[in-house]
Order: sequence, then C-alpha cells, then structure tokens
Amino acid sequence: MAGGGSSGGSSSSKHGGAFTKKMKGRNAIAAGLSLTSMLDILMALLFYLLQNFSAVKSDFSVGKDLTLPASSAMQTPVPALQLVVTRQAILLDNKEIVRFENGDVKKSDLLGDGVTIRELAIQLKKQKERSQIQGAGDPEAWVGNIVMQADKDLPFNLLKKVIYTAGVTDFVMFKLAVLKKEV
Amino acid sequence: MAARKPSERTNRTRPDDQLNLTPMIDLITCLMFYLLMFASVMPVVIIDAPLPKIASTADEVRKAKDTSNKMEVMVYINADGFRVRSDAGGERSFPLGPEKKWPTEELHKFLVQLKTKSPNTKDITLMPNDDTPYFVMVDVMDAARELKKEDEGFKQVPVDMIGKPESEAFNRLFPDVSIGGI
Repeated sequence: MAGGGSSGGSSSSKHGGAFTKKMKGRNAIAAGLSLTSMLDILMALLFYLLQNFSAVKSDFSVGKDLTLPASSAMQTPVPALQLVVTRQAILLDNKEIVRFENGDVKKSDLLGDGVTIRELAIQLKKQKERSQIQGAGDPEAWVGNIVMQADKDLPFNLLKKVIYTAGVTDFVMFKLAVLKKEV
Repeated sequence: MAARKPSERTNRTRPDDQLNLTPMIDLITCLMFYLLMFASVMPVVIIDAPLPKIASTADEVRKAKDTSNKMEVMVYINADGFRVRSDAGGERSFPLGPEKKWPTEELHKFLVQLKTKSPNTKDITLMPNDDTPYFVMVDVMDAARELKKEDEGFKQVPVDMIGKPESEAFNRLFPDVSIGGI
C-alpha cells in the first residue's frame, strides 16, 4: 500500500504525517462483527424447525433401554396408557411391573394358564377401574386404549403374553408404537 | 489534552445507518431453543392392532357374520419365511432371501394381486411363530398396509394431504391388521 510505505520512516515531515492519517481514515475497515451470515443460518434453521414442528401436543416419550422398530405408518400417537416392554422388564406408565429372567417372564409370574402375567393383569385392572371412575361410571366411556412400546428384537413368544394379558383385562384397542421410517 | 486540528473539531455525529440486528438475533435464538426443546427428535407413530372382540350387540354379530365380498388373508411367519393363505389365492410360500433377508417385497407384490381379487377386503391376520422377532411383524404390517408408487392402481395423494393422516384414505391394501395365535 502507498500509505504504508510513506509512514514507515522516522524522518517524515509534519505535512506527510497528516496526509497519512487522512488516508488511513479513508481506508479504514469497519471492525464490527458481521452478523448477516449468522442471521441467515439462524433464519434457515428457524424455518426448518417451524415447518417440522407438530402442532399436536403429544406427551409420548420413548422408554430407555429400548429400540423401537421402524415403520412407514403415519398415524400420530394418541394419549393412552403406556405399556413398555424392554429386553429386561415390563413397565406400565414408567413403573416397572415385571422383571424378565433369561429373556422371558418367570413361570412364577404367570397365572395357571401359562400366558397371563399376574402382576401386569392386576395393574391393568386397577388402571381400568381408575379410568372408569374418571369416566363418571359410564361403561360406554371405556375405550380400552393402550399403546405398547416394545423392543424390535423381542420374540413373539414374549409379546403374546403381554398382548394376551392386555386383552383379558379389556384393553382391546391395542396400538403399537413405532419409529417413523423416512420414505 | 493536545489541540485538535480544525478539520477534527466538530461535534456532529453521523447517524448510525446500519440496522441493529441484536434484538432480532435474540428473538430468533429464543424461538430456536423453544422449538428444539419441543421438537420430537424421534418421530413416533402408531399402528392400530385391535385385539379380537366378542360380538355383543346384534349389529356386531351381523357384521361378523357378513362375509360377502370378503376374503380371509392369513400370513404365517416362521424361521423359513412367509406363507400366505387366502380364500382367493390359495397358499403361497416366500422363503428367506440371501443373507436371511425377509421377503417383504415379494409378499407385498402378492398381496397387491390378492387385493385385485377382492377389493372390499381390508383385514389381514398375522400368525407369527413364537421365535418371530417383533420388527418382522411390523415389516409385514407395512407390506400389507398400502400400495407403493410402482404398484398398479396407485393414486397420487394431493400435495396438501401429503404427510397428513387424511392421506391414509388413499392406496389402502389390507390396513386392518389382527395378530393371531394369541
């Protein structure tokens, strides 16, 4: 730069110094942080999030120690009793009900038919009674919605005990929670 | 204090001609945190699989007995693959593919053929073996639920309905799944 070369020497005159200062002022670069590009990124992210934000309030939470299977289904979750079947245990509304032994329900936890899970049946009956009380004793108000979250690798042998127990306790509107598969 | 040159002696200040972006960034940052907190990271959907119900009312009994224009479709799942049994299509097996890949594509194509024979049928029953993994059952439900783009009879969903539950009225195959063997 021309200005830089003239201001470098210690023998510069008074006129020369003023000229250099003036030139420096003209060529000065604004030192402020440019926020425009950052704002662009934030805006793009904001639009993306707004686009994908679901207006439907859902209190659905996926349980820990669980990998749901993927599906191309589209139906959004509905508020219902949450039954979670992990590789280790059965949980009802986030409370552990039955613990597995060697990947299956212990025989001592089953009723005489060999399929009904005793403790799960008791808890589901309690839930049903509670729901019916909340429904002001109207038996028609009982729907029997239940959402099952189960690990994708669990065998049907185990799941059928859970499903059967739900069925005998009148939770017949069975729904399976799955992860939405990107098409 | 050193004396200033005449050209520097001015109290005039130039108005700031730049837009102040700080409040806007503050607002966007707050909104983003809110959206990120409530956005579902893992989009969960549900599949209806109602359990068989004993017909109690006269209407329910009549509906259960009415089998006109309907066929029964059952998909047996075992360690060797799938076996489909139906009134119209007889019985057909679909063995596991190479590297033990489940033949869901072949099953889907066969179910599309079956649907043309009885368009009113919506029900399908899954009969898994005890050792059938849960994800295979879900894959079979997916294969049986709806037509794909490459299938005959596929209708394009209107743009404003894509991704919404209303789109489920289109291209149905056998959406009402029952789990048998319980």
